[in-house]
Amino acid sequence: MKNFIQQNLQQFQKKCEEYNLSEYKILTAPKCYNKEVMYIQNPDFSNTGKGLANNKPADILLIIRKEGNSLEFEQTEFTKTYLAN
Amino acid sequence: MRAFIIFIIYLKTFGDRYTIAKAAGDKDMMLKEQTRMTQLSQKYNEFSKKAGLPTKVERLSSGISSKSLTNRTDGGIIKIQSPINSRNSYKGKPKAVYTLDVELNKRQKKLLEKLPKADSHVFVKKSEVTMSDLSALTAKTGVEFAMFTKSGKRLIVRGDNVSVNIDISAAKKLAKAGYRFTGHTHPGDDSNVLIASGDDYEILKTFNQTRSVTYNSKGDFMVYSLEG
Repeated sequence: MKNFIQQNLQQFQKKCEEYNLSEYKILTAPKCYNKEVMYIQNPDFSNTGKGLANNKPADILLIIRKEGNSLEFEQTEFTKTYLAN
Repeated sequence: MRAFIIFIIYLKTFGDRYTIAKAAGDKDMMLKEQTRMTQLSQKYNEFSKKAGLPTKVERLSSGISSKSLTNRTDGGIIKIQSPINSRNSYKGKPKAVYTLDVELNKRQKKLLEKLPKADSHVFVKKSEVTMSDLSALTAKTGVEFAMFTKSGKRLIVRGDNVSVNIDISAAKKLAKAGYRFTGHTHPGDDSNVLIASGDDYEILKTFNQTRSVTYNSKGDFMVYSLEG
């Protein structure tokens, strides 16, 4: 099942252009999402080995919200470093 | 819950007065009672929305028969014979368990009996448990649960209020035995509790899966995926 950015690809592409972010990096990044909000994340795979014993959220690179028919981007301190073109 | 009972009592009372006024042809009285019902319904809808419950008046009013409402005692005090029947329809629903302390359903209670403390685990048939059930258990207990699935069987593991004791080594053993990581729960009602940790993603890699789900205490969930 497609997530909401896959369902609104044209809009997503426009937003990436507006913010000078890489579509490919965002689309292929680890992410968690529901119908309204998506967190693009940067998990640390340095193999802590803790598994489900560790609940500390992975760094959030970008937040994408679906508001009505439009997509809104909310950048974080990590956005440009990891997702810029 | 008392608020719900009061809402219904007043709604029914205004409704009865409206019926009497209509029978008597008293249009002023009809308008007055109708206005009262409309205003009260609006307040009830707002309240239900905040409590996360359906706003259909019929569902709640079906729990109290007009008979019990007319069984008046001294001074017109209305005795409610039993709790609102429609409360039963919320049994086991995570949001209702969490916000209104509604009971778990029978199936969930049976499951919880087999998971009395942290690190307890149980094998059940796939058809006997869903992630929504685990969300209800989390709502009831305030602790995490994790679900792993293999063919027609599920393994449920109980955690504590901050984690489930399945490290990468344990995950590798489960993956090798053919299990898939279906999902797990985080206590709390904030959507922030659903944001995946680095190790949540690490678990996906261990199971060679691309995605899983996290549920909170209200039954809200997020999918998390390694890509796409």
